[in-house]
Amino acid sequence: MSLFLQRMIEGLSNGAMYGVVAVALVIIFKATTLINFAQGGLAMFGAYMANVFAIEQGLPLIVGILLGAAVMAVVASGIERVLVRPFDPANHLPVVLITFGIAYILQAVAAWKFGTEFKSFPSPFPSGPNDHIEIAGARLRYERLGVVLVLMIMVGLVHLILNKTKIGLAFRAVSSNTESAKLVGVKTGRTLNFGWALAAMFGGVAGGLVAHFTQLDSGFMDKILIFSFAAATLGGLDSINGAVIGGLIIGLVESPVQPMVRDYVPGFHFLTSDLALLVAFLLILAVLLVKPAGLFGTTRVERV
Amino acid sequence: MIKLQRPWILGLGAASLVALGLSIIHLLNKEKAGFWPFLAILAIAGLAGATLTAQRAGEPVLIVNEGSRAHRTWQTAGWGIFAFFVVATPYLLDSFRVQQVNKSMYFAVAVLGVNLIIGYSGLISLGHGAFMGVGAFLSVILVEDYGFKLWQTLFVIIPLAFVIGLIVGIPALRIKGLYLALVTFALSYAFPTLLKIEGIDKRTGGDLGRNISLDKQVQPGRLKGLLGLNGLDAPAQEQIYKYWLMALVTGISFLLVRNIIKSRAGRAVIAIKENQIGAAVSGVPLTTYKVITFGISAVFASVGGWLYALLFSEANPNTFGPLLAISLLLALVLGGVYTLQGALVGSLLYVFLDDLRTRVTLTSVAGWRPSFFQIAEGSPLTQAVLGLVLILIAFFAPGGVVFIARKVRASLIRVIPTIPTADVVASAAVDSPMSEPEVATTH
Amino acid sequence: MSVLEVQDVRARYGQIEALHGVSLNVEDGEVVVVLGANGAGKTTTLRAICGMVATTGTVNLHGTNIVGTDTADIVRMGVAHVPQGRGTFPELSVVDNLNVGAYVRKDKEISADIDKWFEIFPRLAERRTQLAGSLSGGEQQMLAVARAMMSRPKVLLLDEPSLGLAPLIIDDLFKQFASINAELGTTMLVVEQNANLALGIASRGYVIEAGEIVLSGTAEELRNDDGVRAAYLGV
Ligand SMILES: Nc1ncnc2c1ncn2[C@@H]1O[C@H](COP(=O)(O)OP(=O)(O)OP(=O)(O)O)[C@@H](O)[C@H]1O
Ligand SMILES: [Mg+2]
Repeated sequence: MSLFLQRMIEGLSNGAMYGVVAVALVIIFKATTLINFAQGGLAMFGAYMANVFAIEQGLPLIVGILLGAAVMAVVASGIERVLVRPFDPANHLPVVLITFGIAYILQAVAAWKFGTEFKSFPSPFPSGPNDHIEIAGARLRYERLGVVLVLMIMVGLVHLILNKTKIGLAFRAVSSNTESAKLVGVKTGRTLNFGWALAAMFGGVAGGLVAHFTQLDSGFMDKILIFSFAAATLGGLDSINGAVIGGLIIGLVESPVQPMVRDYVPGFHFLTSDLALLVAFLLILAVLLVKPAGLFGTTRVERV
Repeated sequence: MIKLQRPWILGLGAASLVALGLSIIHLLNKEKAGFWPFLAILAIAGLAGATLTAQRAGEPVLIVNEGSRAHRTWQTAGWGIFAFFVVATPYLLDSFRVQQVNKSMYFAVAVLGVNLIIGYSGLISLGHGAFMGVGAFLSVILVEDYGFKLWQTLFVIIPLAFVIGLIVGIPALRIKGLYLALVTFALSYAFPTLLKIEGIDKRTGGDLGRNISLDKQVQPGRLKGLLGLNGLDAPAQEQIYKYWLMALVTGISFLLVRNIIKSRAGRAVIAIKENQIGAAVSGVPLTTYKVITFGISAVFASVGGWLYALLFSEANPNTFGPLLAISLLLALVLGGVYTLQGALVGSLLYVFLDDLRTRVTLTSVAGWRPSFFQIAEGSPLTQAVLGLVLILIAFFAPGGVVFIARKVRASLIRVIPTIPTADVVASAAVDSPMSEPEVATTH
Repeated sequence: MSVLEVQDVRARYGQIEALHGVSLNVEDGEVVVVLGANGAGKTTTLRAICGMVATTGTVNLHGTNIVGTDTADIVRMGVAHVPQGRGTFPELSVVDNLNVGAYVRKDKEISADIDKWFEIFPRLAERRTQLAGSLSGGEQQMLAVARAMMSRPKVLLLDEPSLGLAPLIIDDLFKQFASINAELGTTMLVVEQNANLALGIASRGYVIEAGEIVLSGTAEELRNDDGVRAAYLGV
C-alpha cells in the first residue's frame, strides 16, 4: 500500500511534467491547428540555459529556470515571426519541415556548445535523502511534490492569462475564429506570436524540472515530447485542462504499469521507459480510434 | 504545329545538361576536382542563361503538338538518355559510388511510399522509417531463423506491412489535420524501443541488430557474364549485381505507383486532396481510400526496407527511428512532392548530399580556417546542416528540384495538349508545388 | 464629403476576378443598401473594403485610401463588419464576445456599453455566460451586431443580416438598425437579398450583378424600378 502511494506520487509528478509540455503543444494547436515538433527542442535548450544561469553564473536555481524559459520564449517568438508566419497555417508541410529543422538545429547547437555527455541537474526543491514526508509509511519526496505544485501554479497562471488579460482574450478570439478576430481589430500575427512565446515559456519550465530526473543532454526531451503528445491527444488537442489531466493519467498509468507487467507477465522483463513509450503510442492510437476529440476536446475535430 | 525559333537556346540548354551530367560523374569518381567544378558551374550558368533568354522572349523556343512526330521523337530521345544513364551508371562509377546509388534506390522506393500519402492525399507521415524497419527486420529474421530465401520474404513482408499500415492509418486518417503526423511520429520513436524489448530482442538482436550470415547473403550469381562483371574486383561485382536487382525492384515500384495514381481510385484520392467536400459529395468513400492508400504506402516503405536488407545484409533497430522518417520526408521535398520523379531525384540528392554533409568540412572546401566556422568531421554541428536544409527548402524550393526542372523545361519547350482528358486534368493538379488545399481542422 | 468612397475596385480570389471595377459611396450618417443575386459580389465588396481580399482601386475612408491597409487597422479607423454567417466566436461566452468587440477601445465605458446592448437585446442578457456557439441563429445575429457596435464604429458593414432568420426576428432587427442609425448616427452599408426590408431603412441603394454595379438610385427609385421589382421584390 505504502509503495503504491509512493508510486502514485512519482507517477503524478512525471505526469505533471508531461502535462506542462502538453499545455505548450495545446496552446499552439488551439490557435493554429499546427503541431510544434520543436517544442521538445526548445524545452531542452531552456534547461541548458537554466544550467548556464544557475550552475555557471551562480544564480538561484529557480531564477535560472525562469530565465532559461524566458530566453526560450524570446527565441520562440523570433522563430514564429521569421520562420512560421510567412506560411499559411492550413498548409502543413512547410511548417512541419521548419519545426523539425529548428529541433535539429537546437539539438546540434546544444551538443556543440554544451557537450554530448550527460550532465546532472539539481532540483529546485529539497532533494536530499531525507527530504520527504511520510504518510502511512509512504515516502513522499519534496522534489516530486514540488513538481506537482509547479504544474498547478502554471495551469492557474495560464488560465489567468487567457481569461483575465486583454492579450488572453485576443488569443481566445483568434483560436475561435481568426477572420472575425481580425474584424474586431485583433492583430492575429502578434497574438499568435504571444502564443508561441507562452508555449515556449511552459516548455522551458518543464525542461528545467525534467532535467533533474533524466539528466541533461541534447536529446533528453525527446521521450517527454512523445508522452506529451499522448497526453495532449488523450485530453483533447485543443483543451488546456485536458492536456493537464491527460498528462497526469499517463504519468499514473506509466509508473504502476511497468512494475506490474514486469511482475505478472512471465518472460517479459521490459526496460522501464521503453515499454512506456510503446504504451504512449498505443494510447494515442486507441484514443483516436475511440474518441478522436479526446476526453475534454471540443467535438469539432472534423471527420473526413 | 511545330515552331522552332532561335534553336541555339535549345542547343545551349542541351549542351549544358550534358556538361552538368559529365562533371557530376567525374566529380564523384575523382578525389581531385580539377576543372570539373568550373564546368559544372558553367553548365548551371548555361542552363540559367537559356531559361532566362527564353523567358525574356516570352515564348518557348520549341512549340510542338502533343503526340506529333516531333514530340514523340523528343520524348524517345529523353527516354533514351535516361536508359543510357541507367545502364551506364554502375560501370562509370567506382564501387563506393555505386553503393551510394544503390542506397538512393532503397531510399527512393520508401520515399515513393511517403509521396503516395503526402503527395496524393495531402497527409504527412513521419512513420515510414518504421515501416522500412518492418521490411528490413522481417527479411533478416526470416532468412536467418526460418530458412527463407530473401526473395521469398517479400510474400510475408508485403501483406504484413499493409496490415500494419491499416492499423496505424485507421485511427489517424478518419480525422483531418496533423493527426497522422502525430501518430506516426510517436510510432517512429516507439518502434526501435519495441524491437529492443527483452524477449523480442532475441530475434532482432537488440541494440546490436542482426546480420544475414555470409552464406545467405545475395551473391552475384549466374548472370555475372551477362552483366559484364567478370574481371571486376569483388566489391564492384557485388555492388553492380545488387544495382541491377535493386533497379529492377525500383523500376517495378515506380510503374506500380504510376498506375495507382492513374487508376480511377487514384484519381479519386487526388480529388480528396484537391477538394475535400466536393469529393465527399460526389460519393467517393474518402476514408476508405485514404486508409488503403496509407496501407499501400506502408508496403512501399517496407519494400524499401527489404532492399535495405538486400544491400547491407543487416538491420539495426536504431536505424529505423525518427531521423530516418524525417530523411525520407526531406528527400521527397528535395526532389519534389506530388511528382513521381521527385522520389528518385530527391533520394539521389539526399544520399549524395548526406555523404557530403558528414565528410566535408567547411575548411576543406574553402581552404581557409576561420576557427569559428570550422565544423570538424563528426561534430554535432553537422546535424544542424540537416535542420538548416529543412528550413531553406521550405522557404526557397517548396516544389523541389523537379519543379525547378519543369519550369526550365516549360520555358524552353511547350507541348500543346490534344483535347484535355481527365488524365491530363488529374496530372496537372498534381503539379502544383507544396500546396495543401486541405482546410485546417478547427477553422 | 463621403465617409466611404469606393472607386473602381477590382478584387480577386487567386486567378478569379470577382469584382470588375465597383464604385459606390456612402455619405455621413446614411444607410445605403447593396442588392444582388447569389454570387454577384456583395460579400466580396464588403471584404474589399475591409482589406480581406486582394484588391486594387481606391477605397477612401474619411478621405484616406485604405486599400492595402491591414484589416485590424481598418477596424481601428472606425469600421465594423458583421460578416455573412455572423462570425461570432463560438467558444467564447456571450459577454466575452462583446468584450472582444471592444478590443480596440481603451476607455472605461466598456462594461456600461455591454449593459446597454444587453438592454437592447434582452435575450442576450439572459444568456450572458452561455457560449456563443450554443445560441440560436437569431440570437447569434443579435450578438454579431452588438459585438460590431461595441467598437463604437463610424461605419457599420452588414452582410445579409436577415439570412436564415424568422420574419418576426428580422423585423425586430431592422428596427434596431434604424434606431442605431437614428440615435448614434452610425453610417451603414447593408448587403441584402431581402430588398423590401433593406430599402425600408435605406436612403439609397446599388444593384450589383456579376461583379459590376448595374444600377443605383434612391430607395424610392429602386423600389419603383421594374428590374428590381421583378428580381428582388418578387412582384
Ligand atoms: N474564397 C473564394 N474563392 C474563390 N472564389 C470566391 C471566393 N469567395 C467568393 N468567390 C466567388 O466570387 C464571386 C462573388 O462571391 P460573393 O461571395 O461576393 O457573392 P455574394 O454576392 O455575396 O453572394 P451570396 O448572396 O451568395 O452571398 C462568386 O462567383 C464566388 O464564387
Ligand atoms: Mg455573400
